[in-house]
Order: sequence, then structure tokens, then C-alpha cells
Amino acid sequence: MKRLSLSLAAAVAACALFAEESESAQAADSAESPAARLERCKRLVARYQPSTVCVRYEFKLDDEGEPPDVTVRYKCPNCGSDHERHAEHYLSRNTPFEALGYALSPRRILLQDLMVQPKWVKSIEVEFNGVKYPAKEVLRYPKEGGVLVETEKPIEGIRPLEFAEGGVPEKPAYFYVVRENGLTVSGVKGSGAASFKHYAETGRDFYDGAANTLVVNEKDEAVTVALQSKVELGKEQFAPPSKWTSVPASAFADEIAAMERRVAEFVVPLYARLESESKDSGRSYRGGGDETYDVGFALDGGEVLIPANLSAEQTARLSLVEYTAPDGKKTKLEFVGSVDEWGAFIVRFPDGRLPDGIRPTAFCTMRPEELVFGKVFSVSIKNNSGKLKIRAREQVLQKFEQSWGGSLAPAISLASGRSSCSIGVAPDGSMLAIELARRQSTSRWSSDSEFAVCGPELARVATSHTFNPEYVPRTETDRNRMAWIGVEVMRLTSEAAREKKVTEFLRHDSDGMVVTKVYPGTPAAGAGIKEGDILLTVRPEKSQKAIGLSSEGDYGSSYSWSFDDDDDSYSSRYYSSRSTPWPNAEGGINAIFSRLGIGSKVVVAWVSDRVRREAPMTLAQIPVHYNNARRSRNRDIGMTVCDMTYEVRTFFRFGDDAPGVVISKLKHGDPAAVAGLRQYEIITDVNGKPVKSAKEFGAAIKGQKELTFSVRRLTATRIVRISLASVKDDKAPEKK
Amino acid sequence: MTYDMRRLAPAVLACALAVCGCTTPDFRGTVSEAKDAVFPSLVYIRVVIKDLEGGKDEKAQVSGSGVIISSDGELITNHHVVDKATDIRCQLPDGSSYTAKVLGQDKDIDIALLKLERPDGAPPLPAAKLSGRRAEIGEVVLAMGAPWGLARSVSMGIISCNDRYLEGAGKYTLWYQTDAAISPGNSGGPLVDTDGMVIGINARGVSYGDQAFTIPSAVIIEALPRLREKGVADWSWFGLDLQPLNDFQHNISFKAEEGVIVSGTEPGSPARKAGFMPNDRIVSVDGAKVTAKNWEDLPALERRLGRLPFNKPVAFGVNRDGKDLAISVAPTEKGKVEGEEKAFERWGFTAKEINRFDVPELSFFAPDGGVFISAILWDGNADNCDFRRNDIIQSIDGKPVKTVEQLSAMYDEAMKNIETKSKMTVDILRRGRKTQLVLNYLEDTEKELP
Repeated sequence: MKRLSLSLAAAVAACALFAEESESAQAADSAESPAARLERCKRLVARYQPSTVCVRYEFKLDDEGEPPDVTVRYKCPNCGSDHERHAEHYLSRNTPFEALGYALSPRRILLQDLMVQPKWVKSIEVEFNGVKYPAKEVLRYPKEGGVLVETEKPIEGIRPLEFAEGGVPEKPAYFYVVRENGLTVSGVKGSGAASFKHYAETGRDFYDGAANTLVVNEKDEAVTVALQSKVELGKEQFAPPSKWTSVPASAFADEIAAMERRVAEFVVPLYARLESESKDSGRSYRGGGDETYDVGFALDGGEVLIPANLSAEQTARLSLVEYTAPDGKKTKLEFVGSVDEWGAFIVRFPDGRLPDGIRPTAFCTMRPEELVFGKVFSVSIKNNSGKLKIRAREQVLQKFEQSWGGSLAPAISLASGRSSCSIGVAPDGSMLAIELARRQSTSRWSSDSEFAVCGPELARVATSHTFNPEYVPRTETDRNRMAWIGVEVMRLTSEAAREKKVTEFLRHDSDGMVVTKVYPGTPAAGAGIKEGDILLTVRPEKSQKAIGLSSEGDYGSSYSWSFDDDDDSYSSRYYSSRSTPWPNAEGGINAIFSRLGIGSKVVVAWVSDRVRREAPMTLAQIPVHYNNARRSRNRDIGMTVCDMTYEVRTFFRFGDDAPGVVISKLKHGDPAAVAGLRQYEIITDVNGKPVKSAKEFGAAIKGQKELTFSVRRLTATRIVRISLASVKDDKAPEKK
Repeated sequence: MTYDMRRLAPAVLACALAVCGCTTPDFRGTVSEAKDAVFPSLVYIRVVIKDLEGGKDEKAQVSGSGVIISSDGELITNHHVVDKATDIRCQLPDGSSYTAKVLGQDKDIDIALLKLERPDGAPPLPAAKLSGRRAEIGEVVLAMGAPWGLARSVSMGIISCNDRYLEGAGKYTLWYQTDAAISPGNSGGPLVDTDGMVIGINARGVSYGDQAFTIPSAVIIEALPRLREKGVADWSWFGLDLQPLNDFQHNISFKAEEGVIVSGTEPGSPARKAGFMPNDRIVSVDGAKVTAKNWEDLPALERRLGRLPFNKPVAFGVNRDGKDLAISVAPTEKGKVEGEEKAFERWGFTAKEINRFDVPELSFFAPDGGVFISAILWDGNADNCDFRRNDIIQSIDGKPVKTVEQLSAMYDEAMKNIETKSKMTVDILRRGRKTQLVLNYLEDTEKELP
């Protein structure tokens, strides 16, 4: 009794608060004064408190040790709105989840369906007036999202709810009770006639109130129980629970299991592997390592859609996608293409046939109005080392939301993570929605954002075969063979674009690269591109989509030639990570060309003398450049030198035949570093003889005890002598 | 700071006296006499300079020190004190003050010769004497000048090193290093020995350090006649880059007892044309043996080569790969060591011609010369259009730019047409890479409110 008095006092306080709030918010709708509202709240508490109980769900791990895959909703006593929490929250704290129940009879209690499978429920109990009654679920109301629990013994002193006949009230209000931290708070709230809304998208009328509340009419008579925040104004739902359609609760687990089996029919467990990354690429497949277990969705023609958002670089490293049949037989799938606009790619079984037991995914064709306020499933699929784990959850679809491009997407909570994928499934077992990353075509700098993609668009993605030619796997050799058209470029600033009056040719101000050098004998030279022209796009000959040649990578290099002699204090990693004085041949637009591949036939568009031009070109291989040039390392003097490649010669104004090797790496404290040699200085002579390549350099220092180098640092030259006991014959490591 | 300096000066002196007093009984008298010999010739110099470093044509005031070396009013100071001066005022310790004009100056040795402008028949001035002898390490010396603008200041120390080679601080000078207190404002002031002779001109300090560097008088005495007659030091130029036989710091040794190593030759230089090769060892010049064992031996040799007359062949004895050969080279005039400079305020930058001695890195990228941005006006038009210091201007609106004069003509034209055109496309070379920027100079960023 003590407790009750406390809760009533709290209820009165809460009423006052809400009365005031309602007053300001719905002054036009409410003729009641604050004092009158408070009185009404007190009356409602007195009238309905004896009909409400606390229902406690205690969760447990299932037989496989899995925690409950359930998200519960509770009303926040602070803000009054619904919040969601995972059932693990309660399991880990060893506290039960407390739900509000409405007594329909001395033994039967109605509450919001937690959609929790029996295997995760340790116990259910109902508490009223401090007395606990064990209970179990008996009936479900799928459309309303409700469940009926029944106690073993009748609840003493309970006053079952009585519902008024007469349909939908004009000005409904709702009465609620919240339990949190052992306190009970109740209140009354409502927007009156404003609670009734119309869904333009789905053509449905509904009541928009709050979940888990008792809806009352003007005479304070109970009309119905709103278990979801939105209740359709249908024949059944906005009526006393006795009019609702129910199903036996025992069927629930079976229904979930059946859905999980249906999903399993179109899910393909796969193993995907990426080749090891090149040294400067920091990204990896879904934030993990270089190999991963993933899931795909079967399509017609033996194809499989994998909803993994790989970058072009990652796709280039994709070397294997493999399916392991239940009998252990492995099948290698071939790559078909990367979806043009969404982060997904398609692979195919070699014979064009799906394995036995797997059927193509059906994509949902139901219209939003057919789905809303109905039951749907959120299914999470995990691939644990080739073993599929599929978990379905039921939920009442409350609304649709605007997604990419104005399309409507069902508001299902989808969770995704490494080696897992979460989809929405319609009651007929067809795929309703999946979360995909939208590939950013506008900017290469911002990260991809994820959107729920639903049925019709999914079907289009899966079947249209509109692929992005930049996102394809390559052999390791191909990945290291960079393609180009033979130009050096710089970024066109937007101011310059306006001044040159070429903005009309550009999609964005930042698009376009100004050609600063055209190498002779290259595709660009052949097509007549000249210095000062502005490159716009490259389009693979067979594709409709032109790729913007916008800036990417290394253009703002800030290499400084002036550093002190005592810079041994920097770690040697600093030297290998900093940018070169010359433009990186593998960066910028060459990276874009390289993704299309050497030998690709493309159409390049550019602006010359304010006229837009186009020409077909075949992408050529970049000559050997600094990153892959032959190097020669000598451990005794602690120095690696590198051939002077075309771009290095251009930068240093070295003729093609001028002798010289460039210092690429030095080891602190070793003789070369002590002698004051520095990275990117050029050695032209060794012991009086010109050296033209790293190989010649290696040969020239072999076996010598006295080394005399002629060294150039921009204009300054000097002679460096190193005395050694002997320089061993180091095998020059050749870069791949 | 002023307070501290005043208080500390006597304390330092007292300290020094206490230490040295026991070995030199009349030390106080000696120091006093030395001071008296030079102090009346000490000059406090206030200079108004043309300041282009802010990206616009401004004036700035600097101050320095000097010392009178002739009774008719010749004085010496540092080149960097009077560089780009438009007005020079000098004050003597007796309070009299005069304007002065520059007779001659040289950036390489950082020395300027000035003359006080006095009416005809003015009485002779007290002149200090320069001593060309090499001071000994440990000698007591007095530094005189105007540290932090505090005129008529004297401090004392010793010669800490008498043959300091400073890389990048003028190849003709082997410096004195002293621990006498020398601060900004001391520049151009004398370093005086206990005989009252000027043994050098104080010119440099180290940042956050207590050591300073002084140009030995010998270097100045050698240069004075030319500065007086021609206004310049008139160095000869061979274009030879030299390095000594030994470089301890980098553990480099050429295993030879005599000669000096040719580390390289400058592009287009007489030495390169004459066929000098890197790693040649010069053993004699006009028959006289030369040797630079260490870096400290180089300045004297550079001075000697720089003093040889222009266009007169010089016979070098050279050892190349163990074989002796003779190379004859006629040096040319070294000429200017700094390019023309001008501020273009509306554009928002100062442009300077590339001079190989001034900005070797830029001359590497523009071997045929050109113009670069030497200063950017803060928040000016160039600043706002992403121009940077050291950008080499190759062309404007497609018209090549090679000299400040050309640029100046373009600027005048641009200002004339500013009502109709206020943008230009500029091709620049930044750190060796071509870039194209557009300079929008519509806004008059320096416009003052009415």
C-alpha cells in the first residue's frame, strides 16, 4: 500500500506536467483548463490503475548459447517517448524487462508483443499489488502487435478493463503507466482530433498516439489498447481487443523457423579473398583482413549478388569468390561485374546454374499500402566460417520512409556488420529491403552513405547488369601495370575554369585537369592533345557512363628541399611515407585509367581552344616509373638507389641519356647517411665513371673500398667519398 | 629588458675583472684605453629602408652600428644595415648627427662603406684604425654598438674561435667567433682588441645562442679600395664549386696532401666551358700551390680566386684521376648577386628576378632566369588567389615574363584598364611543377577608408 500511495503522488505530479504541456501545444483543440486536466488525470488513475499490471520477461541464452535477438521498446519516463533497447541489455544486467499489461480478465493480460522466441524466455510473471503470478504466452495478435499472457491463478483484486462500444471517438486521449526503476508514473495525453492522420503514400488512415497506451474517449471510457504508436483505423484494430484476430502463441516459433528456412533457400554462403594490399593502400574489405566469409543472394542464371561495398582498389584485389557445398565440394565463382551505383557486385556459378537447394531470390513486388501496418521480418544472416546462421525477427511495419532518389523504403531496423548482412523480408518470403552503400559519383573524397534499397530497385540492381568498368578484379601483374594516355596534368581551379570560359563543359567546378605535359609517342600525343588543353572525361567504349577526370591524390605535394643535416631525428618511416618532389605517376588521373586497364578502348573528352573534342584511344602502359623502377640496395653503406625514370628526369631536367641514379632510401647512421647523402639526391658518377642505372651503380660499387660519388642536389653539386673495408656484392632486389 | 641590461652590464664587467685582475694588474687601464681609442668613432645608425617584404612598397626603420675609419667621415657598417636604404642618419657619441650616403657595398662580405655628409671644411673626426692581423683565440675583445637600439654600448668577451667557417654565410669570409654580448643592433659595430684597434665588424649571431660572429678586418681592408672606387667589391667568377680534402663531419677524406677538390661547376660558367670536371683536384693557380685541407681553408682561397682580374686567363694545375693537366680559365665579372625587385600592390605581391647567387633552387627550375614572387601581401589579391612565395611567374595571359621590367609594364597596363579587366591567368612553376592560377585583382585591398 505504501508503494501505491507513492506512485499515485508521482502520477499527480506527472499529470500536472503534461497538462501544462498539452495546454500550450493543443490550446485550440482543448477546451479544458489545466486544473480540469489534472482532475481528469486523477480520475483516470483511480479508474484504470487497478486494471494495469507489470509483466516481467526474464531472458536467457538459447541452447546454442546465443543471446536473445530481440529489441524491446520501453517508454522513457524522462521524455515520454518510446526508446529501443536490445534484450542483451537486460540479460547482461540480470534484470527482467518490465512491460505494462492490461487485464482483460482475471487471468488474461494483454501487452505489446516482444516478438521473442520461447527459447530465449526464462520466465514470465505478472505482478499486481506486490503479488507475483507465473504466466505464459497464449495468444498473439499479429496485426496489432500484441500478445496475451495467462497467469496460472486468477489475479486477486484485479479489475479487468471494460471497453465502451460505439467505435472511434472524436477526441481520443491516451492514458499510460510507465514503470522504471521500481517507480510507477502515469499520465494522460492526447492530441484529440489531431491524432487522426492520413498516409498519402499508402492511402491509409491511422491513429497516431503512443505505443502501450490505453485510448479513452471524451467520457473517459476505454476504447482500445494501442500497442503500437500508429494504429490503423480499420474495422478491427481500433476496437476492443475482443474483436481482434488472434493466433495461438505456440505457432510463433514455428513461423519464425519457417521464415528462416525460406530465407536459407536463396542465401549463398561464400568465401571471398583479396590479394595482399599494395603498401600505400590502407583500406580493407569491410574493415577486416584480406579474406572474409560473406553472403550473397542467388539470382537467375546462376548469378549471386554480394552486397559488399568494395572500392575500386579493393575490387582490383578481389582474387577469389568460392562456394562450399554441404558435401564439402568447392566451386569457384566468376566475377560478372560491380553494380554501377550501389556497393554490390555480382558473381556467377561457372555452369550458370545455382547449386541444388538454392533458388533465385524473389524480390518483393507488394506495394507500400499492402505492407504497412502488417507483419514483416527482419532477418540477419551471418556466415561463420562457411556455416550460415539465419535469425528472423518479426515486426509490425509502421511506416515507409523516403530513401535515395525519393523512393520509399520500409522502416525496418536492419543491422549489418562484418560477415553478416541483414535484410527485410515480406510475409510471402520475398526480399523486401537490404541496406546498400550508394557509390558516390559526385565526390571521391566523401565516404559512401548507406541506404535501404527495396524491392523494385533491388530487382533492377540485380538484373539490369549496369556495371561500372572501374570496379573490376585484376591480376597482380595488371594491378602493378598502370595505364595512362601520356600526359601530366594539374588541377584546374574553378577561378581558372571561369576565366578560360570552360565551365560549361564541366559538371562541377572542380572537374577538369589542365594538361601540363604531353609525352611524345603516347595515345594523347596521337590524338592531338596539347599543353593547356583541359581533360574532361574518359568513357570506356562499350559503356554509356563517362568517368570524370577529376583530381584525385597527389597534387598538393609539399616536398621541401631545405632540411637540416641533423634530420636523423626523424624516423626512417617518415622518409618512406612522404611524397616525392615529382608527381606520383600512379596517382591522379593515371589511377583512373589504370582501373580501366591497359589496352582498354576508351573515348577521352577534352577541351581545346574552347571547343569540346573527343577521340578514341587505347590505354597504354605507363613506362617504368619511380614506384616500380629497378632499385639497388647496398647494406654496407646503407643506401638504396633507383633508376631515374621518365617523370624523375622530367622533374630534374635530365635528358634521356644523362647519367644518374636517384637516392631512394638511406639508413640512419650508416656510411651513406653519415657522409651527408640525402633522399632524392642524384648520384651521377661513381669513382669517376658515369652511372646510368641502379644496376650499373650496383656493379660500380661492387668490391670497391673507396667510393667517390658525384652528387647533385638541384643546382648544388658535391663529391662524397666513403671508405669501407669492403663492399659486399648485394643482390639488387628487383621490385615487382 | 632595458632595465636588465643596465643592471647586468656592470655586474658582468665586475665578474670579468675579478677573474682577470690577478693575472693582469693593470687590466682596468688597458680596457679603458682600448675603449677610449675607438669609442669616439662609434656611430649609431638609423636607417629608413624600402621594404618590399610585405608584398607592397613600404618603408621601414632599422638601426645598426658603424665605426668611422677616416677623419673626413668615412665609416663602415654591414651591408645588411643599409641594404635598400632611402635615408641614413648617423649619431656620434658626442651627440652630433649627420646624414650619410653609401659609397660602396658588397653582399658577399656583408660590408658597406658610408660617408657622413658634412659641410666643407668641417673639423676632422676621430677615426678608428683597422687591424688586419689575425686575432688570437682567448684574446680579450670589446664589442661596441647599439644592441637593441641602445646606442653607445660596450660589452666584453674573448675571441672564442678565430677561424670559424660558416656554411651559407658568404664564401669569402672566415669568421671570428666571440662571446662578447652582441645583439640585434650591434650589426656593423666594431670588435676592438686591447690595443684599441678594430679587428673586425660584428655581423651575425646564433639564434638562442650566446655566440656571435665578426668579419675580420683583413677581409674589409682588402675590399675597401674597390668599394671606395667602384662602389662594389667586384669579385671574379669562375663558376667553380670547391670542397676541401677532408670533411670531418661527413667522414669524407680524399687521401691527398695538397690541392682542393672541384665538386662541380655551375651551368654556363667559365669553369664548365674550360672543361673542369667534378672530382678534379686543383693543385696550383698560376703556378702557386693551393691547398684546402678543411673547410676553414676555403674562404682565403675563394677570396684569392675572386680577386683575380676579369677576362685574364688563369692557369690551373689540375690532377684528374692521378694525371696532371693544365686548364686555363679566364674568369668573368661575378656581377649582381641579387635580382631586381618590385612590389605590385594591387596584385598583392612583390616580384623579384631570379639570380643564381640569390635563389639557387629557383634558378634550377628557371635556368634562363625569370621572375618569382618574393613576398605576398597578407590578405591581398594574390594571397586570396592561392599564390605563394617562391612561385615562379612564367607567363601572364599567355605572354612570357622574364624580367621585372616586363612585369612592371604589364602592371601599368593592367592598372590603366582596371575598369574593364581585372583578372589574369598566370602560369606559375611551384616547386618544379607547373600550375595555372587566376589572379583576380578587382578589389583594392589596400584602400583606406575615407
